Amino acid sequence: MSLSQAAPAPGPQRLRFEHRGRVRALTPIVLINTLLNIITLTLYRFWAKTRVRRFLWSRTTLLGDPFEYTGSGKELFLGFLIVLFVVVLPAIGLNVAAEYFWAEEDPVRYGTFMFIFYMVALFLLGVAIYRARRFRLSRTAWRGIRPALTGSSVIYGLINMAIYLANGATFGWAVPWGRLRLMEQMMSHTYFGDRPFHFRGGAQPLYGRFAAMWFGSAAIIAAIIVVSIAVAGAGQVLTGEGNKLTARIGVGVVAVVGVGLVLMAALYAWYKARELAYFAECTGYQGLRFRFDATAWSLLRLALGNYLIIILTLSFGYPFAQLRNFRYLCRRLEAVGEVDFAAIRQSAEARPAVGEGLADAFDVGSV
Amino acid sequence: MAGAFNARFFDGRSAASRPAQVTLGAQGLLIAIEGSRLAEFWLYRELSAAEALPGKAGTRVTAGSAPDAQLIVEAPEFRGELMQLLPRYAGIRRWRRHGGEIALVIAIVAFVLAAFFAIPYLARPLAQAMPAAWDDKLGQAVERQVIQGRRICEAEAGTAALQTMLRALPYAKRYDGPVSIRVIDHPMANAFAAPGGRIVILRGLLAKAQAPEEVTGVLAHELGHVVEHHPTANAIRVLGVKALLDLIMGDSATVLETVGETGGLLLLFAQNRRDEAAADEVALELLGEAGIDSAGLADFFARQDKPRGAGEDSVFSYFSTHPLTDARQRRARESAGQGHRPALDVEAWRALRAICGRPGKD
Repeated sequence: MSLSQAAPAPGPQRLRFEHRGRVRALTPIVLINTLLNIITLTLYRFWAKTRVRRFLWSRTTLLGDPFEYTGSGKELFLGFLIVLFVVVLPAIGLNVAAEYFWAEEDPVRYGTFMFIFYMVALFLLGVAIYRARRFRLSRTAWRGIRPALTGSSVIYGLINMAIYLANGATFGWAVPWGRLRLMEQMMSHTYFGDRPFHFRGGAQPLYGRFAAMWFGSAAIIAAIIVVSIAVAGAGQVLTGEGNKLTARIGVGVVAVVGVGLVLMAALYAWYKARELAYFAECTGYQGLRFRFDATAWSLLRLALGNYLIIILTLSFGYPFAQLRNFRYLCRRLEAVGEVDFAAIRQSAEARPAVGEGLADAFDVGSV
Repeated sequence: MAGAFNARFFDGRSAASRPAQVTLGAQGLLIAIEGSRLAEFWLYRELSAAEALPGKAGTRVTAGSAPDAQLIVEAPEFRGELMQLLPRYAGIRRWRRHGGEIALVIAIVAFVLAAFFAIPYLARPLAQAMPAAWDDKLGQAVERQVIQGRRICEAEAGTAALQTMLRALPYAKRYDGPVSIRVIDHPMANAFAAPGGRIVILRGLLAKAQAPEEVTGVLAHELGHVVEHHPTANAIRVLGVKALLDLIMGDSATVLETVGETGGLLLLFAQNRRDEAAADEVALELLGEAGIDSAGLADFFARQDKPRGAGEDSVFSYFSTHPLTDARQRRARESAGQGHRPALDVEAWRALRAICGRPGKD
């Protein structure tokens, strides 16, 4: 057909995402959002989020063409209202009623109720993550073409709940498998236009680093306990030496704990880098394979910087952390292979009318 | 008329990028797509947006008549020339797009403010309508909070004296629920009324009082709160404000929550001043009907500490819950001298002061 011939001939390509967002351009948006959030007792947050997303999306480009966020604050606000009346208020009502009727009179029944209550909350958490992603993808466009997320949020919620319980039962050893399973569930239902992404791979390649991290962390925790007890014991033997020594011992214990925590964070970043890179390897779209160049040190810097930003700005500066995440992702993610964009047609998936109410209630996926 | 601009055209049906030539016509945009014999024509009045892309990457034009399709023109002068051809539309559309949302935000803020101010006024009727069993449950919880594990003072003669004092006051005509009094082992000179008619007196108050009429006066005042359902209404106000804040804020910043709660507390204090006056009125009536001299209550007020240097009309007096002792004392004095019945005999008074198992002074 003449139209598809007009497109450049497909061949092996390296597609890179670029991000051109600048802190200076984001600052006025954050300041105005903060002011309006205070005035409206945070009810402006839905519109604030939308403005930040427009900013972040529009400054991300692929092949020189920008992404677009097409959602509105109103959709998020209505999502919040619906969840408030359908989920949050009934849940509070149930909780109050159970406490009133059972807490003292029938502790067994009350305990059972609370267990079920938290299980349902855990289930809804997964549902919230999935639905929020569906909404966000449906409000994204590149070259006018939309991504989509199909599949059932209920199934995702159930898988999420089962994996959470499995993690607890196996002292964390189900984590790599569980995360991979959730990623697979998500990616194999993700579309761009009418074409699906695919996700192939088992969890085995993750277990090498995971085992090293697990035993390493266990060793660090054991070391902290042993050293603290030893130092405290020595302090008690030497109590005759007075307060100065006791204070020094206190500082020593704090230092040991601090060093231990930093080492554990580094170990986790080291595992996480492998996980992110591996998830990208497993993901494909048409003839494209993905590569994500995540490293332990860069991830640690990213996480630490974001943490400081959120703490120092009392969480009002959260968009700056998001900006750093976008930059990190775009700098290190690439797609390699062949893709014929002319063959990708517009998505015909139905789009949710409102969004992210559950995610707002659970404080997840706040991008 | 301007010449043709180079552009990228996306038809909204596929993800292909097609080079195109755009001409600004009298009625609309003519988009000639390279390698195609067909051209697109977008009327100016059908355009839905012409936004500048960040980073001087050009202008993106979209049209309501071609959903999902877009046109990106990189030449910086394109946007200016286009705007000259459609100045009227751009402004109107901008307002249409944001006007609705601004109105919505204002409406929401108005609603929330209305809810905040409605809570204090709804609290009273709600408290009166509350079933006695709920009231009692609430009272248990509040009382537990106030006592916080401190010892409840009980001694046969002392407890009997408290009951004598309570029975002397004819509160039952005004309140049909049960009323209970406890003395808690705490040095502060204070008393509280919790929901469900639960009155708590702190040991310090018995020590500070110089006559049984003073304690009876305070008791009458707390009974005034009970009769007027103040403790329940207060609980509803506090919980209502907090619940409303929690609901609208979701996960958001705790700083804001603190600010909001402080605002809510100021509202409660303002309401409290009226409650105190109302409880005093009831107290004076109860004392009058019982034939007990209200001078005791006035004496007790006289010995209360005044807020630092604050007169009745100072800002401080407005924000503190138990102030205006001067005015309240005066009011109690006005009706003094009407009753002459002793609240307790000497023996019972001594027993009451020793209810916590200590000598009267500390």
